[in-house]
Amino acid sequence: MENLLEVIDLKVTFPTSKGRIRAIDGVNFKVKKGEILGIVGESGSGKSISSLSIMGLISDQGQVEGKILFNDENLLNKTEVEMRKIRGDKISMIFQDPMSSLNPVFTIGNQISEAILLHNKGVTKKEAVEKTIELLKLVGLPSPEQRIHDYPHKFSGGMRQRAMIAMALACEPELLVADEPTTALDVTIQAQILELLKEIQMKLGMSIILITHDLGVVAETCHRVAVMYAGHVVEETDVYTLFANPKHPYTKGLINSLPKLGSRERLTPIQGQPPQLYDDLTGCRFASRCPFVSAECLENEQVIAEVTKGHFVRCHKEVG
Amino acid sequence: MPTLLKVNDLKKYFEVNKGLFGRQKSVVKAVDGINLDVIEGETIGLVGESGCGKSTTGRLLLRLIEADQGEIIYKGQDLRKLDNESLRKTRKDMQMVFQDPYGSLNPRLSVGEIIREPLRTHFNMNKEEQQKRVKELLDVVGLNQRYINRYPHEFSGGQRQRIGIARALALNPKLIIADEPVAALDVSIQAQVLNLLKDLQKDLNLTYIFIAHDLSVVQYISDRVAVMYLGKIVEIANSETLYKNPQHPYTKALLSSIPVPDPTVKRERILLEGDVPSPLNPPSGCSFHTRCPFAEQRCKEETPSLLTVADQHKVACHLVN
Ligand SMILES: Nc1ncnc2c1ncn2[C@@H]1O[C@H](COP(=O)(O)OP(=O)(O)OP(=O)(O)O)[C@@H](O)[C@H]1O
Ligand SMILES: Nc1ncnc2c1ncn2[C@@H]1O[C@H](COP(=O)(O)OP(=O)(O)OP(=O)(O)O)[C@@H](O)[C@H]1O
Ligand SMILES: [Mg+2]
Ligand SMILES: [Mg+2]
Repeated sequence: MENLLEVIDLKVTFPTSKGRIRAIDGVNFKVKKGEILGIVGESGSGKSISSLSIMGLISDQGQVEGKILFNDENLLNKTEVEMRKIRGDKISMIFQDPMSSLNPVFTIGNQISEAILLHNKGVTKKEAVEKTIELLKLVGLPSPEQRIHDYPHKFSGGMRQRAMIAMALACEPELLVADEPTTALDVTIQAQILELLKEIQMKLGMSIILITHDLGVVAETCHRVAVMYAGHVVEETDVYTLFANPKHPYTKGLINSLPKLGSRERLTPIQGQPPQLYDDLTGCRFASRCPFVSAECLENEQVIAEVTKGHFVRCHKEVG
Repeated sequence: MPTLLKVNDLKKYFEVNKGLFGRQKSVVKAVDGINLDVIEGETIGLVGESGCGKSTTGRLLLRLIEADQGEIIYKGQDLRKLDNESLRKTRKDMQMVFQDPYGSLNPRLSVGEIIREPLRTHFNMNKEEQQKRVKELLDVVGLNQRYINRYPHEFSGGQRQRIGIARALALNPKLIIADEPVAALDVSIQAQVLNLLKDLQKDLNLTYIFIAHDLSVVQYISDRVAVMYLGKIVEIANSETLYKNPQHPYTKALLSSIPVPDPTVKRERILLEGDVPSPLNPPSGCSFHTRCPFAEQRCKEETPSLLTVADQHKVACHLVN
């Protein structure tokens, strides 16, 4: 399969009162055509910043380096005008924070039909409204004919999320970046929406980057998975290998922290906290929390390497 | 254990606009007759469909919004009848951790100021004591003390949620209503926070109302679980009973929809047919009948009441009762 997206050595830094923070620090991953790539990882590890970089939505203060190849063109060389065209036409995004992408002063219906009108020349207003209602039905919003007249603040968290998914699908993108698209939804609707995403993905041959904390969702939805920790991808492999044979100690810890249905046993979290990303970091960034740590881990920066075909790990103990 | 909070027939209806120009008004029955006893020191989990009224219930209990009907009895007093001053005092005992870690933190205040704010308004502490307490609280929720002067936008979603928990703990509350408190956290931090909430509960004898959609989390943290559907509680039981022996068809569907973190497992799903009903126009009879695989004629006509089926186990379903 062809690569639709290739992120190469992506780095993003922000100025803070304590110096520049290295929000992501050399991230690599690929998304093939028609593939669903899951991104999981520590809160604050740079999942959202990675996806915002792809969208060209990092604020002016942020400094972005590296390459983001989309259909072999580097998105980082595009002008703001070109990026605006790509966003919502070829790439669209479902944001982690539903309120930030819904405009409080326009009705839900207005916002979605506007997106449809912008990206389909020749569509009438009436057709756009019909398509809006259809999309809202598709994502399972009750009474869409009436609810399109509502403003975002009248929607519950889950309803906002569904409205946003409808908006992201409005332009039938080649790549959909979904940042925690189902966190506010209950599981029956989540199952429905993930089913819907898989269905649309197959029908349109769309690729999806799915960012989530829910390893259950990853197991059921994604083809491949990248695990992020402290600004790096620490493991990348197909979904079966990830659960059957995780290699990186962080990935192992993550899988161990899950509450198991039917058990009330005390959970085993990964001890400690991630490093602060503006510190001068030497050695492996997981070292301070790693149960297998040794002297070398503290000295040498780890590199990501292929341990078996298609399985990449950033830990020298695994790479040897 | 004594009852800490008793909720009787609580109702909240919202008016929304309908029709092309919003001239017609119609009503969302967000919370439609909830009865609940919360025992001191327990955790009661609240789960259910998006939009079924969980957050609204939480806000009503703290009187962040006003109910249309019902009683909220706390320490023998109906909170709905308290004047502002008594309400302010009682509110100290009850705190909320919000669903949205973005909207609920003031972007112009530093983390330290956010957590200090409730201390300033409710306690007689000097600057130093306040600072010490803020650092303690940061520690308790696992945030680095060096973050104290940073602003919310400099944090990830998960980090912000921990700030919200620290703020809620500042006043030593008795009851915490946590609205999706770990939804934004990755599982390793989630495990830390859940362990933390359990430890705090033991140490401080806290009572929790824990709203979440992740059933594996809810069953882990809760002693009892209430399942809501369209503004009503349809099943309530001990956590273990609910997971081992669910009775309401909606609870069964909910349990079967939990995604399993094992790609080799293909689960038998109870797929719910039919559209999600609108709270604007809730179905007659049992509001779940439009999606229920077992619905009979009676379910379309009569509203089932929440009846005891076994010790501590109540269900609202004609087919069960
Ligand atoms: N505008 C900003 N200024 C300074 N630091 C920032 C900014 N935005 C993000 N960061 C920092 O960059 C890092 C990565 O943040 P990001 O939002 O990508 O995390 P995430 O992996 O999406 O986390 P979560 O799972 O909690 O959403 C974090 O340490 C965060 O504090
Ligand atoms: N201020 C409001 N005006 C009109 N309708 C409202 C208002 N607040 C809530 N609602 C409606 O009340 C119902 C219940 O909303 P609520 O936020 O309590 O749901 P929830 O169970 O918390 O959902 P979620 O899991 O998505 O957060 C929804 O139909 C919502 O649209
Ligand atoms: Mg994020
Ligand atoms: Mg809610």
